[in-house]
Amino acid sequence: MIYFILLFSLLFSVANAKDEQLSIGFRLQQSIHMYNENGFTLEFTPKNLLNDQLSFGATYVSSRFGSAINSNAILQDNFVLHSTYVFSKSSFSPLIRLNTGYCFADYESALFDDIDASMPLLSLEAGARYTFDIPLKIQAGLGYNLITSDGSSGIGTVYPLFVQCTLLWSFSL
Amino acid sequence: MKYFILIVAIFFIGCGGEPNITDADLDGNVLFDPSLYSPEQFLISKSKPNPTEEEKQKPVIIVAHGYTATTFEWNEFKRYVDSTRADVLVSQVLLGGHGRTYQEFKNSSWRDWQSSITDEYQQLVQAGYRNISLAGSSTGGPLIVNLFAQSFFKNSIEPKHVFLIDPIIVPSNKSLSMIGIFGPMLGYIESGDMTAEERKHWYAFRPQETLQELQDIITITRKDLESGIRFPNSTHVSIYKSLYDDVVDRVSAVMLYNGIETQTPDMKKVTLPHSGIHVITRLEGRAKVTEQDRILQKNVFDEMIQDLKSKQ
Repeated sequence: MIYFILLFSLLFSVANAKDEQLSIGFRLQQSIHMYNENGFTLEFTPKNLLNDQLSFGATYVSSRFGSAINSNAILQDNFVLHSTYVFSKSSFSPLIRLNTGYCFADYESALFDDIDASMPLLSLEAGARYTFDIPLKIQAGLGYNLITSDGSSGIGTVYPLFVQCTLLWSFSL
Repeated sequence: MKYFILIVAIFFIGCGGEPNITDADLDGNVLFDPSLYSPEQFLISKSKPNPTEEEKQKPVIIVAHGYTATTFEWNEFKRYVDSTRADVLVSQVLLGGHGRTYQEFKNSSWRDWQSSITDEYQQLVQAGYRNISLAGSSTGGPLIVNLFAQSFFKNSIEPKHVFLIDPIIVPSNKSLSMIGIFGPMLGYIESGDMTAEERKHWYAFRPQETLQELQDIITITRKDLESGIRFPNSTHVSIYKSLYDDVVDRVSAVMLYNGIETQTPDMKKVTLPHSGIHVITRLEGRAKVTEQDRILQKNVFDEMIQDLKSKQ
């Protein structure tokens, strides 16, 4: 349900874009005691929705661009839809964010076909955003995965706590 | 979600006091692991310190138990080997800090736990044994694998075979990853359901300091596996990991298999039995054991003995 709401909100906002803001950038994510996963993020901020303080986006982060570079770390790809609320329009503002999506793992051998290679993701984040005079924004925060593997199902490398840092370049539509 | 609730509960309740240990618990000052009184009944270096030339060539296997456990965890294997006259010598080590008291356990580090394995290995080599293998269950797994990452065997006898039984690299309960944050507030964690028999052979109370040590050794081993751990040319490895284990996440088997590099690919094998038991080789003391569990245990024991004897 959350996927549909976020996806619908994102698509509706983009379709009705006018004087809205689109941001693209990089996301660096480190799970506490597990992998470093990095990737790309896209964020759309509709005009006049909660005083321009609510945005929707999509992110792809993967261990392919982090822990798995030149290593035996498990290849895992995270596809996430998210909604972010910043508490003020000033250059520095706290924020909260809801992420939902799917994680896919590649164990690189048929020997492990009995182990789940995908699982849903649902996480909450809290952090802060700083907006520079140029159209650059930096976000940092602490996240908590509400869904993790219990050892018998899901992907064991999805860990509860993670920290993230995101750099975003904004464009006016 | 259950972790989130746990965290909230910790914040509001806290605990941090001393555990309520009874004389029926291994954690107390009454029960101790029998290997502390009679090491010669458990360690080959003590029972056969001067082997004959024939005994020196016999397969000897050092078996290491898991976190909070004792030598009891490998008793069934020892009995099976003896009952089948397999001509294999089994040396059951008691990990440092284990089988004693809560306080001694609390003060121990993972290096203390590991030192029992290295001490026995060195004593066996010194005594002249040439055909040495290793087996580790649960935390015994990363403690053994770490020795290869440290190149412990570089200037010594190369182990013939390494058996990893439900080795932990990733715990099933991911809240262990937050023990550094919440551990000091908790003080200790009491184990879940344990039978009276298990309380005699496993610590029921887990000091947060030792959980942090556990987190340290599994993180170190995971990172070493990511870089690749080269096993000596003559060392084989067998990984057994039950698929529905509520203590160790099955992804641990993937990390070990992909991270251990043997001389040839056929020198490592992985088996993923459809079992819900953590440490499939230990059934004694469990509340419920099925016929399927017994068959699996026997099959693993037979495979281990066959692998040990094939390297004579």
